[in-house]
Amino acid sequence: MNEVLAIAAAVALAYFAGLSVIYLLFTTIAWRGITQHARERNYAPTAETLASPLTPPITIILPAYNEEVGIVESVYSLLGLHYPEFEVVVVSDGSTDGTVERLRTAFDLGRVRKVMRASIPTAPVVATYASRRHPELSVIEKENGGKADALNCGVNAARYPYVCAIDADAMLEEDALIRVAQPMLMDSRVAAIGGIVRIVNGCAVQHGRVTAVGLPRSRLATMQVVEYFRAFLVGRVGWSRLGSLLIISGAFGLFRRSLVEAVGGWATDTVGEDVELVIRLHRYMRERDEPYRVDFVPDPVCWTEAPEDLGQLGRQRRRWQRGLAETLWRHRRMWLNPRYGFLGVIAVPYFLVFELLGPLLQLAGYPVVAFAFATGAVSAGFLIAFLSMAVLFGVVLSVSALALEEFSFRRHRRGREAARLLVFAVLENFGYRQLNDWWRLRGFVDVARRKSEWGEMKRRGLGYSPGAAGSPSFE
Amino acid sequence: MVAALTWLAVGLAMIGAFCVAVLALRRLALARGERKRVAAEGRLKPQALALLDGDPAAVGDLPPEDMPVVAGLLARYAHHLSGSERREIAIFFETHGGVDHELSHLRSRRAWRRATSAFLLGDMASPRAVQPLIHALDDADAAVRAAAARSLGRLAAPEAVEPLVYAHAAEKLPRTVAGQALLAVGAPALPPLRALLEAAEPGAREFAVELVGLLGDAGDSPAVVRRLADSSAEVRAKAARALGRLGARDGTAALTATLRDRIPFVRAAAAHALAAVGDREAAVPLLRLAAHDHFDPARAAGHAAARLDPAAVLRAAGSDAAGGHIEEAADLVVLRLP
Amino acid sequence: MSAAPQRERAVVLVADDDTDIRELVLFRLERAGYEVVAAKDGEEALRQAVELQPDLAVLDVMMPKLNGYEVTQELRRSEATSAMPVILLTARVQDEDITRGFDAGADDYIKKPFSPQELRARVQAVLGRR
Repeated sequence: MNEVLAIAAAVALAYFAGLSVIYLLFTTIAWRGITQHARERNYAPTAETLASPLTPPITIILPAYNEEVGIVESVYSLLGLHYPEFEVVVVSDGSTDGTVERLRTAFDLGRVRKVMRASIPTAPVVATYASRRHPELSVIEKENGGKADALNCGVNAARYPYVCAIDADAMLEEDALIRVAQPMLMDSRVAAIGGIVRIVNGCAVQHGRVTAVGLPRSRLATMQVVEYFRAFLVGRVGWSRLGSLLIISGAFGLFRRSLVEAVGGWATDTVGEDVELVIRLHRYMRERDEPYRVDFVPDPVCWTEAPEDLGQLGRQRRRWQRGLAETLWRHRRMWLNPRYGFLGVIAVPYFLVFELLGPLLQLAGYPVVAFAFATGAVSAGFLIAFLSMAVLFGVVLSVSALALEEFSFRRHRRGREAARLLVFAVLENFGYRQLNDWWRLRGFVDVARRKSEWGEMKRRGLGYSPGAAGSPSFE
Repeated sequence: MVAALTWLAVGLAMIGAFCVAVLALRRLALARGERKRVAAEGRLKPQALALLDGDPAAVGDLPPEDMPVVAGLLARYAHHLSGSERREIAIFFETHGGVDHELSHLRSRRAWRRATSAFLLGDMASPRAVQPLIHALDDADAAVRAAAARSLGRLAAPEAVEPLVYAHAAEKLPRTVAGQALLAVGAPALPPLRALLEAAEPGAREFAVELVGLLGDAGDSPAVVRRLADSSAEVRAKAARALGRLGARDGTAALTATLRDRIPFVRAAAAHALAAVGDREAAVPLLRLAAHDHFDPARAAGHAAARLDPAAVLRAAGSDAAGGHIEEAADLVVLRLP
Repeated sequence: MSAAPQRERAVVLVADDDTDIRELVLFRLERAGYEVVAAKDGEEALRQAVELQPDLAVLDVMMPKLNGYEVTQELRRSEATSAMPVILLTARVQDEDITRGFDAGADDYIKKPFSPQELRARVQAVLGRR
């Protein structure tokens, strides 16, 4: 019995140790990526791109479900983006409130017939509108089908070769489009690009733009700020440098339209449609041996609201984990498959072991080691080693992510804020992380049990709830 | 094994503490450095601005530790400047060795150093940099090539036009970067671009014709019209687009003929161009396209017809054989009515 | 007849979100004898224009909050400022952009990168016409 416990405890320790090493590796990779990007900004031709008639035009797709409160302001702020040529397509996904009505009044919409490509099947379109005052704005009203379905409808209506999918409650910086478009301008083989999503709680907002950056008052939200730094700065930059970025936030992503159409658009039968599309794009390109890149721009581009309520946060994390699990299962052909290169052999298995099964191992690790120690199966030294690993690595990870932010962007200029972030980076490991693991475990169990809430989810427009930024990797 | 792991854990803890220390120290150092720099700049700004005004003596007897600050200021200002102020900056960097410094770094082993130099040389406005920059268009690193292209544009060097076009055709420069550089060269780029309209490589012809459309005038119409008969579909499409930009009416007949091109995106480009040129007579063939063609050309044709001859579109929408694109065009016409 | 109050020196409003550009223009115009008021964004520019009634406004096109076109349109809409000459400073000079500027009510435009000397000459020309 003691033998078994000792082995179980050793496995737990090995898991945490392995994870620490991997994270450190990633931090190094991400560090190089971000310093390079920061340097590149010294010679990035942003001003020229803005002025150029050769910059490829973009269609912004805004799926909306019952957004009457903020939709007009969102659209105004989109129309004010700095980019040479773009259009905005708002898709009202069966809204039952005054969303379309508010848009109609604010933008002087007139009802028009609009021919749409039949590229991706969607729920039927009810009405289409064009704006007299803003020729680059059009609004589509369709039957409810979920966020993915609304995005697909937007793709069918899109005029331009690139589409940018955003969330109704995401606030974009004025330069967001031009910054996120840089990789695509530098290399026409780029298939999809993601940008950094930041937390807006605590920031001053005016007319849909962030005017002053600040930290949230809420402890929960501040924890998420630290978490997002780690997930985005370290996680996504790292993966993108390795050519295996699997997650582009649903809140803000730029895609080559022809490819989205080729793979059949966003999947309407999964809760993780953002992750799923990116993986499908990877598969499509690799199966055809076509050169491509999925890129990530470490520049802050988009702000969303973080849930400040434990219940809401829990549901969000559970949903993200479900999405990840469903997607990985759906594409199980890729597991350890050399046909998909680094992605299939390293990245996907990483996500399986450390992101999907991770919460289980982590949560189980604590009681197993405690029990093993209590029964004398392992020494006190072991217990100390385990605790240090389990807690310290998290601290190191968060701190290094903060350091990365300091080195490159320094958005949080006040020393007091940096200090507060540091404190939370440490505190995060005593409770928040474990809670997260619990939620994610439940999400995984949900999928394992094949819990089906899809229909209900669509009706309640849950695909549109705030902070749908896709699961941050690096838990 | 456990001991090893414990040491690893201790190591991690120390790394963590180290990170925090570095963070804090760096922040302090940066803040202090920033304050010093801002103070120095504030002090030296009047002299730098006076230099721009044609008074190079203003920086004549500054102590050597001030020179980098002035150089930084001037390089930053150079981004925004042209004309006499830019010439003063060129003289400054030439006489104080800035140009030589950056030219030497163009051969650095580190790509980012080469790229930074390539970028700065554009701001230093020295004609001596043109040949080395053209050479840098062949650099192994994409960022260096892009920075070199931008700087060649800033230097408005006509001898760089052909290398820029060929670099893009060889996929060594992205379109926006090469294009923007050529646009920055401006009118002096036209003679070499016109010559490139007859280049052997289709990629070069295609890029050249697009730029002639952006930089040229009505006199370039005939040469561009000839490209409508090019063997490459890309060239034909870009030629159509260029005619739209040039806006000359004498292109109408050729564009209308291009509405019958074999390739859909060429037909779409011709439709867009006809809308820009503005000849009402094109509405009839456009309506035919809008009724029968594939999605993209039909949509382009419908929108174009709506701009050229709204009344005709409304009439066409009334008939049974109208089809979706004509109906869409008609609705747009109605929408725009006061 | 200008609605602006009589002043010793002409007042020029300069609006651009880039600090360097503001400094360059400020220096040049002040050296030429004008009194210069600076604004960092479109909203501030509009407010200053209404409050101080400058003799001329030089506006960047790509500004936060309100862009140069919008500020010009607002100025034209109000009687007090409708006659104020406006010069737009812009990096985009394709035909559509130029037309848009004039449609909004601007009197002239200057392409970026620009020469502050040239700007001064234009300012002088426009104010000299009055």
